[in-house]
Amino acid sequence: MRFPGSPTILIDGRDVVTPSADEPIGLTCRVYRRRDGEVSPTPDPADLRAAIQEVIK
Amino acid sequence: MTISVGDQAPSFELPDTDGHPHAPDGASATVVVFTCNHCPYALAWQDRIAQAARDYADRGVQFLAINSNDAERYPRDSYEAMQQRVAAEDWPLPYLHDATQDVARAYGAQTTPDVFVLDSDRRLRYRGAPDSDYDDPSQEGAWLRQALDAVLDGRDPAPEETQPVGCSIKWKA
Repeated sequence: MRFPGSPTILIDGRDVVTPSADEPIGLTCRVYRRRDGEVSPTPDPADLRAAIQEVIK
Repeated sequence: MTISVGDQAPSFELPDTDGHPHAPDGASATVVVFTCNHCPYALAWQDRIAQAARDYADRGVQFLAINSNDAERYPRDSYEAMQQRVAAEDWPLPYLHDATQDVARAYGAQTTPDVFVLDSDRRLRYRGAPDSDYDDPSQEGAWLRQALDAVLDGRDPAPEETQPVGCSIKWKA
């Protein structure tokens, strides 16, 4: 299993933000990029909304 | 162990990424920031801390960044990874390696980042987060800057303590 770090949010088993191939894996803190390019410990809310909408449509 | 506001902070000497030793040198104010390579909170605040280091350089403020994380379990926080990062980025402050974790333990550092502002007598005058929101670059490290302005003007910082926010220091097992 390739765990990309915490927090990771899965909806129906699918990551709301697809990790890039070079993203480190392991029990670590996950680095997200917001849509404005800034580093954040959490996904961009817009990415989270988009992932939810994709599932419920 | 931890230190409280008003206490004299422990001295130390640690190597930077070129192997040169650095220590608190009795500057008018000294900023000791525990940070690391892999933590998203530390990364989110890095530019704000670096800009503060540039902005306060001509006021005689010393900035020291320290990585104390266990590199065995977190290879991205190894000394070699620190060297690569400094070579690739613009660092206006030395990035020191606390391989034994003794300095983090002596300061009672909890997170990355965890900011300690010392006066010229090495007394702790501010401890906590750089500002109130890691996700808001417009904050520009306001708490850190307020603390520095206060210390440089001979006043007590307000606030003098905030909750450090970030990833926990990765202690050795």
